[in-house]
Amino acid sequence: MRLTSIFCLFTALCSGAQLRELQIAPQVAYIHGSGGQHHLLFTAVYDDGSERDVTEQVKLTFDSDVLEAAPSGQIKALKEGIAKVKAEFDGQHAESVVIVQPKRTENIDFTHDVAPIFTRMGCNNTNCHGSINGQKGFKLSLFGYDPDADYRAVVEASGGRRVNRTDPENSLILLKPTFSVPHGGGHILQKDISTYEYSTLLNWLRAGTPQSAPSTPRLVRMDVYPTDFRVLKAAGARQHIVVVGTYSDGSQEDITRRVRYTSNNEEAVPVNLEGEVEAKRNGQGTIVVRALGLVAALQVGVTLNAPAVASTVQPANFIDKLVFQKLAKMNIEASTESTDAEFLRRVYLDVVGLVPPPEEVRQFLADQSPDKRAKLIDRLLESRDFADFWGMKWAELMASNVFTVNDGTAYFQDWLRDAFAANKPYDEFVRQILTASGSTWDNGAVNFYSRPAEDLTTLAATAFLGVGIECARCHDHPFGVWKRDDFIGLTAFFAQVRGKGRRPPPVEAIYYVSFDQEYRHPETKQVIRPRFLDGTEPAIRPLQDRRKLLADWITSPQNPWFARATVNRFWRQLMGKGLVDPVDDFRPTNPPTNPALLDALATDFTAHHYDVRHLLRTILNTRTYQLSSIPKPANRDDEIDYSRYYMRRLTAEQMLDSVVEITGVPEKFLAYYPGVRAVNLADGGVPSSFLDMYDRPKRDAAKCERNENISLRQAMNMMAGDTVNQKIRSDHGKLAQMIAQGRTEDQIVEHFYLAALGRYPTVHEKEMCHTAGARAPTERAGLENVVWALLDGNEFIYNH
Amino acid sequence: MSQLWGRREFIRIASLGPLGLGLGDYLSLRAQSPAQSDKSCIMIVLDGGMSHLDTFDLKPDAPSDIRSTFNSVATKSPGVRICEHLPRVAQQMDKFAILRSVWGKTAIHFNGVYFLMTGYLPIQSMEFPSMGSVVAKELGLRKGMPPYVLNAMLDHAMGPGFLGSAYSPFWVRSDPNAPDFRVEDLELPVDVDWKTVSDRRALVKQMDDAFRVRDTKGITESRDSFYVEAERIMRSPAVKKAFDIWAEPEPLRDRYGRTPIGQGCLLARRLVESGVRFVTVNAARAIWDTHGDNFNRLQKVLLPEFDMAYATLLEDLADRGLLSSTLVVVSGEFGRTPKINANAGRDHWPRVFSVLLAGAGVKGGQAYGSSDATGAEPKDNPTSVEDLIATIYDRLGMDPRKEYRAPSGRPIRLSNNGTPIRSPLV
Repeated sequence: MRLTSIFCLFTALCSGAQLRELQIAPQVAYIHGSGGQHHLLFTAVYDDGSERDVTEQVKLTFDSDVLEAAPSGQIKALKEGIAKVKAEFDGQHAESVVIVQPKRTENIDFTHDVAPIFTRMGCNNTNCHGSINGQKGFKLSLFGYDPDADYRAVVEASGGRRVNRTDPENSLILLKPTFSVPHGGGHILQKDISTYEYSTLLNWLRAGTPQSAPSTPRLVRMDVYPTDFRVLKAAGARQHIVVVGTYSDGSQEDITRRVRYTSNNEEAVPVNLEGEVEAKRNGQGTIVVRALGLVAALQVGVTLNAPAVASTVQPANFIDKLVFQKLAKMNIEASTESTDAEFLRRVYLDVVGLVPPPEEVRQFLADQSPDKRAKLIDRLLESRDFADFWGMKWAELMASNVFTVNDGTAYFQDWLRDAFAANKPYDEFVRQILTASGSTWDNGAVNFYSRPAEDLTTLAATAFLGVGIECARCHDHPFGVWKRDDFIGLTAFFAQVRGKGRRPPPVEAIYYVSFDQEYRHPETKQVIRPRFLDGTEPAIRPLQDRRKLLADWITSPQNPWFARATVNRFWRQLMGKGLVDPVDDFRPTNPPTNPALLDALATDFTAHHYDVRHLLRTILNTRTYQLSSIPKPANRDDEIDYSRYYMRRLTAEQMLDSVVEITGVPEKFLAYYPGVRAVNLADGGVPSSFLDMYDRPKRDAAKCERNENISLRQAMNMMAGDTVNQKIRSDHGKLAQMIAQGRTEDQIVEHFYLAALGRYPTVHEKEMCHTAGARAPTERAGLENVVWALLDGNEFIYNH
Repeated sequence: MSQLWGRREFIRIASLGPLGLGLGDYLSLRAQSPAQSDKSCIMIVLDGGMSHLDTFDLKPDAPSDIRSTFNSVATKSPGVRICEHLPRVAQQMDKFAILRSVWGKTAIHFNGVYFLMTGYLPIQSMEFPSMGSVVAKELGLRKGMPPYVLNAMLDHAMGPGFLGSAYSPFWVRSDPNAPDFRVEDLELPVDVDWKTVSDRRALVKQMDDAFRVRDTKGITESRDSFYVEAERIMRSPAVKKAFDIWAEPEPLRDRYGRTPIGQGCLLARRLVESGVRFVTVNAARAIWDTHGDNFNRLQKVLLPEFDMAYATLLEDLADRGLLSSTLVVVSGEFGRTPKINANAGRDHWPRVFSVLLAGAGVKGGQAYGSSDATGAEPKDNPTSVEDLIATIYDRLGMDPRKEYRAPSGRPIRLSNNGTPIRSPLV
């Protein structure tokens, strides 16, 4: 064999992958004026699909003297014309085209040249001059979405004191950011004429602060490269970003050094002003790119792990495939499979909100059939407890509380519970809620309407589309997407609903559509036509219930949010973390951590006619869901790729209802029959300090995700409170009963281990309990201590 | 350059509640709070909405279908007149100021209390922290006492919101006037002693060994530190003493009045004396909501009870030298309609109402701001609820313009852009 081939083979064996291709982005680049520059992104693609940024390593040649190379993968124009860029890396070649056109103008333009600087340098940030009142009297538009207003703020406001026409260099607009005078925002700019920002500002000031001509092309679009998810695999490795701006006249140019970069995970992937992302430690982050009211995002991951041992686990379905693919990309080794005991307790808690009864545990652990897990999943999904548990979750999502829904909370929750029991297709479910009319007692879904139209807009958008539109109620959304007109247009779908309630309480209300009611703009009083969030307006016929059109639009397979937001919610409930997280915050700058998986789930859900049980069953039967929560060293840091089951604290109802089951002593809630479980309370305000201290929500926000706080109050309650202590001590409780039946200490300890922890105690644990129990004055007291300890321990309180 | 990055702070704030933050962490976080303030606050919530026209802002010259049936009388401070059924309060006029031009945005009880306690109207996407939680966070612990004590049956709008349960109130759900008044879970049950608790916790620690292999976030340490702190509080003579209302001399208890509001004020004084930063009184009983029989209810019950409680509280604080460091706030969630309704009552009126402020540098003996001739709209010095909250924070030595980051990243100013009132109120 020849030396070169031995070398290549050697490299291939070491890296595990052959270089397949070299890519250049963008393929066609435009530079305006000689001396102008353009960043290019060079990517090496390997045959295992992995990609590496080789911008710093490529060798560049050109087919003419139009261009020359500049540092960091940039191209510099020497004169006008068209030229080819030829790149070479490790034997692979690639080409792209660069077109050098004449400059549009030699003049400095405020909107094109100056305004973007305030975004890039962070001047118009939310904490600084972009905040609602600005800072120290200087107000810029947030992230620069209104350059005309910014011009006025800089040049005309405050008596024009920010610009010094006779001595431009001493204008306040320069002195402050360069910290030549005290500046609350710190030292932002270097007072250095060789830097683009300082020289542009100074030259603009020297030119007499000209305004932009109305004909000046405006930035209308940003294209960010890379367009796909990149993983950096060595500490200090860099991912370059290239940003191309398109203007209203169709022209394009490189704005890589004119935009602002922020990372939402600086611990792992910090980004600098030049758009270089550095691999710092394991993790994944979203890099947000901003310029003049436009925003874009890309995701970058880091893995410093050695390549993971190839998994021998067979994927159970498409979910596993996509999860494993991502894990492989990130060199994250998945944990092992959960034990039967771990799985049993976990699936009970996640599907029906209760720990499994001891007899169930014994039976399941003894069962040898290979499909016992799948059978258990089916059984739980069809149980009444499942409907109770998920009905409660959805009552929280519907913000069903007594202040808003008055006396309809029980009817609403019943309706929701029945929907889960009947496995109502989710599109039907949403449609029935949105188009509900009549009595709040006869048709539980009508209770949705017991709030003003604007609140319905927020509720519907949040709960059904995962879209955070609330800010746009009063003002255009600062992060770009939603305008106030969107909010108002959506509200028009709800504005014809009227309600009449009977007094005195208990209030039964009748909701109906008043077809002659028009929705008017809160300030201008103009009639508002209903408008969907994609900007389209449906044709409305007279005497037509607009809500049906909204329901059609929301539940349409073409709706960009409905299926994805819905599957994401259910996914979050089972997996502990949404693919988009928070689940009600779908926006371009908050992308899914595994876009292919989210899309696949949505597609499958839609294809199965929005069958919720099918969705849950599909997720529960995956290897991914059934992974152990015990981390491997390589996956300890993973919080988003599902390399193990993410442990979570039991929710308030899971805790209380499970304690009731374990101790055999029911809880009595005010105005409910004895024996009613916490999961069936129709409001978050039914008195129970125990439920409150474990973060039972008040249901005034449209969410079904729970806080998991641990607190002083919980500690005090366990030690001194009645709830758990009285149930353990009770003469009518399980412990007293077993003692009265003459069970041995061994039997009793085993029983409570099975009940609380879903497993048998080890020999060591039995001894431990025996020794601890012996310290108590009586055998019963000793056993009470054991039960208390089981219920106070982390293994009980956490769902793992 | 660090101010350009907003996200770090939100990650920090958002992680305060959930697992992983041990007591040690949040204590040290609180200790580093810049506001080295000696101030406390007693918040008397006149739940239901006190009628301003019959109490602190009478309009004797208004038409008969508006003006109060009560007379206005002179107080200790010349020029300030209040309702005749508040004689003791009138004698303490030099200690407090009436803000007569406070205005709100909502006539719904639920939203009104929420607005009063957080400065924001409730929205579905976020839970705002109440003043008590914010004060607990900003001013921190003092003398080992829980910083925020809530004495109410409901905790609606009184919670920590997105700040997380580290800033939840120490919730006393018992009526201090009741003979069986007790603080929940502060005392061990009769048949459990500290030895038993200790044995139990020792067994838990052994059991938790099996859990360690999964514990990537230090849950075990965090929970344990709360147990240590809980035991400290439960065994602390100072904490027990602070809640031991029976240690107060009977005559003093009588002077406050043997009513929920009376004993609530007494307990509040006792708590701020012991180091609590923020105490509420009389929240969530909705008794001031006089839609019907307004005048009788005020004259026979509400005002006499309030008269004794508030006047005694001010006097008591002053006598103990606590008034300069204790801000006392009296407010409902809105006022009541100028026009008297068919049931001899008044309905909800958020457009103007009266609030009382005393202590912590507030200059007593004055009425700040005014309403119009019929008590319907603010006239001079309109003060929004946000301004009121900003003033409260300002009096407590906090910065009302400070910003938190909600979990979504959105900046939330403590007082929602309110401006604190200074001269001549202060």
